[in-house]
Amino acid sequence: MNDDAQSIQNSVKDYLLKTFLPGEDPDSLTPDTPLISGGILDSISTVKLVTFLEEQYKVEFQAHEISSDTLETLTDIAKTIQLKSAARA
Amino acid sequence: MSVSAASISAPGVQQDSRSWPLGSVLKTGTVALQFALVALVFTAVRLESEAFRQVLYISVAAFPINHFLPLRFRLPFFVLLSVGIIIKILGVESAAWVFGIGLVFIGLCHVPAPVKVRVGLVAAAALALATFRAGWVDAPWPGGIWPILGAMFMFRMIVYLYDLSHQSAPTGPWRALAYFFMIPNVCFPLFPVVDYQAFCRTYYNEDAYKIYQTGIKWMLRGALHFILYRFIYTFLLVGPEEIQGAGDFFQHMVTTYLLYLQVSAMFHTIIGLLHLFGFNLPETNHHYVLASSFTDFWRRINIYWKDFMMKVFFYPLFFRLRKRGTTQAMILATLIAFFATWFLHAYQWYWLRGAFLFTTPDVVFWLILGVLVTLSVWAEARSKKKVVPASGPESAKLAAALALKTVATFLTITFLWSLWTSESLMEWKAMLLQLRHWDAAGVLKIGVACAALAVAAVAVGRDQWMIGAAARQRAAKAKPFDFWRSAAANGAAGAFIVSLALAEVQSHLSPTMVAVLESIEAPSLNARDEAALQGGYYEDLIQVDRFNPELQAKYSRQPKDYFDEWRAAMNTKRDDYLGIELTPSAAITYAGVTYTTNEWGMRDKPYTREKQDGVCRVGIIGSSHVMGWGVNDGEVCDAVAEARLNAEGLPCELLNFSVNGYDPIQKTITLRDKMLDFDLDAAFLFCHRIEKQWIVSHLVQRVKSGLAIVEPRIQEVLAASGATKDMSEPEIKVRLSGSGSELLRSFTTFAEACREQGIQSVWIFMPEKGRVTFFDRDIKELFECAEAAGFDQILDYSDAFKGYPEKELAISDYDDHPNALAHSLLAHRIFETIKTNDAVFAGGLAPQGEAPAATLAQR
Repeated sequence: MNDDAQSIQNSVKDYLLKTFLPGEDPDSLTPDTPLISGGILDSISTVKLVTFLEEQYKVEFQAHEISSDTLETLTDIAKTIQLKSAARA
Repeated sequence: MSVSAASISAPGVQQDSRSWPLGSVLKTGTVALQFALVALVFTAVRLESEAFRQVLYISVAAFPINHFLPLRFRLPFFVLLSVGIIIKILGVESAAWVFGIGLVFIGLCHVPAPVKVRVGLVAAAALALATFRAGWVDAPWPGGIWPILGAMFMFRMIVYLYDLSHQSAPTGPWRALAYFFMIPNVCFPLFPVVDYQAFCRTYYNEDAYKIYQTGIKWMLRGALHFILYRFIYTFLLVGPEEIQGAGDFFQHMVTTYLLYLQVSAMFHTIIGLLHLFGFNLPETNHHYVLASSFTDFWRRINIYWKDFMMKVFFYPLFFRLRKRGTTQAMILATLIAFFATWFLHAYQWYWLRGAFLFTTPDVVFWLILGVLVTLSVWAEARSKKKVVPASGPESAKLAAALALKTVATFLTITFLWSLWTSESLMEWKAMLLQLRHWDAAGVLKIGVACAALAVAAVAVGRDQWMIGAAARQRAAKAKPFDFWRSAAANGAAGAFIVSLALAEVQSHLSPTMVAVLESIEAPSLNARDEAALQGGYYEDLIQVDRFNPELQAKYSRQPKDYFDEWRAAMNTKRDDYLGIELTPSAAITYAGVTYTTNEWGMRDKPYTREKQDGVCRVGIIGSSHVMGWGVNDGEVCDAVAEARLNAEGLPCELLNFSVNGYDPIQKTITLRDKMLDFDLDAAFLFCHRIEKQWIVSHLVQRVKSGLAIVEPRIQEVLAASGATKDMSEPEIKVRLSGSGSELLRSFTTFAEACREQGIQSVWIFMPEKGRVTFFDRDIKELFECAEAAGFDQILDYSDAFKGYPEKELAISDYDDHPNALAHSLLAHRIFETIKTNDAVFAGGLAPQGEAPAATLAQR
């Protein structure tokens, strides 16, 4: 994993812990923790997360991209952001 | 840019192993054994349809073949298996139409044209199909395929087109065929909306044995839900007509809501079965009874539907609207999504039932639920989660809040559910009037139920109030998968359920427990359903085959227009309260059974009005069960009993006046107008447990048609109920239902008429196959009314069928009426009653030649 992916993961992890999992043990949120199927992200929090990602990384999501393929884990999120950033560049 | 699924992550597909190490063979064999155990559970407890059980057996046999096939052949194998199963269940002709129509739709999705054109083509084809479904144009295919065709394509086509247009999932002919024709859809008109993306993404996406074990576990959970559903349906459900006070209303709304267990049972079973073929699909329902808010309820009750709505409606709407601000966009998107949910439920009803569902309770239900969920979304969007310490008063406070919120959500949802399942707002309003009546028992019932729910909410939902528990829960889920431990747990659960169905085990249980188990094993519906009480939207959908004769014929070989031809030949209409009677001197052979009536319109041999000296004569009156629907003339219980009595030198004539569908009022009129002309010594009134429901049903029709009710006691009940011709049918029904046991006062008229004529009156409870009776308050009420009526003798034939499996007593898989064996068992009880019961016949019949048959014949 390169540094960019790691920093994205760290940033998103901080956001998730602060916004949706206050008081949660940070070690429990691993790069492979299932966020959608695990119940951490519901529809409202998914929308909030996407808004955060768009503002933080200056990328744009489309409705059909909101799925387990793109947002299921921190790893998936980082990959998605990287792909979108690369496409923008 | 658009991010495709394939570009993000390749699923962790299980490696294609050509060698079969011993450990793998052992594990596969163990899974196959568990799968066979699941099939045994469904067979032993007779869960779901016979058609589905056949699918299960085939799937059990196919499982190891699928597993040991190289990975690239598994999906084609699954398709071939699904196709074969559809042909087996529907027959070649119907299956060919399903495949033909389905392939046209799939083909239209892949026409080399812009997405909008393809969507237009599919929509046009669907509209054309809808005209056939409406019956505006005669369809060349059998009508029985509609619900299955609808279940396969009505929603999955939308999902498929959506994913196709966004290239968010891989495509290919095998995937498409597997997606649309997947087992066991052919057995389930109500099918979860499986997401195409998830269907592709999850295929063998982790350890195969872990996927299989999840499937076994979910199928067993499905079986448990089915069993719970049957228990609630049989023993706890309170119908609208039975509500007498707040406690009953509470029980009605809770039990009606819990009938949804049948849906979650089906969904767990379906998705569990798909796991056995590698589809690692997500959970379908999650502790929906413990929802702590309306959004939480929406997320738990039907997860696949929620995901479908999010994907196709909510997210696209939100992204279009979000320039207005996140919160406003969320609220608007939620409201529109709920409107779409209402519309799509009506659309679903259309394809499954052939008509749009448009009732006031349905509209009001979705409107209120939509507003509540929207408010909940608004509140959640604004709120921020708080850090709560693991222990201490703060934590306890949060736990208490969770408990209160769960109870409040549950009460609101069940209250709304009672509205949704009502036939009309008028019926619901009439039920609400019962909330004026409170008693200690009702308060206790509500209090205990709410307290139990609060405890369960805190115990199960502790991750919402204990810090770190969510992480622990996920960590627990993330623990290394232990195949053998999982197999042992599944095996033990399956073996336990099967063991309860074994006669050897049941012989060690109390009679009450055995009766409950036997009742749960019975596949037939409860008394209210038999009296045409339909339990609401989901029940109607589940029983769609019951309302679609052609599909039912496919499932259980029932002839088309069952009963119609017989009724045309054997029933004559009357314009009085009786409504119908048996046509005199008629004969028909229907479905291989011969029915003959004598000149008086009895399903019996010829009799004169006057009996011969020395012969005792008993008039028998009942409904279709006693009339002998489904058995030949000589096999009806009275004919068998009469032959046996005479063979033993006891001259006796049993005259059967029974008519299909007669309620106690009609039976009493028949006694007065017909039976008493036949020089009887005794009159046997046969009843079974739905007598009151029948009276209500018939009275509603009579009141609505303005027919004069001549029975004085029923006139009084009608006057007291306030029911009039000008009221709606639901209102009349609720008013009459509230009259309770008063409706059974025609028993008293029957007994009095017998007494006036100097003949013995005998009231007999007629069992429905081997069904348990002692928990049933309908039956308890029947006996109480019979005792109050003053019959000379009250007899309970409940145990007449004891020791015989139900399936050996019914005339067919689709008709529970007693067959020749059951009639011979009833005949034995009638014979014993006449021969030995001194109380009935003041000394009983003496054998011919020993003494005159004085007791009956000469009294």
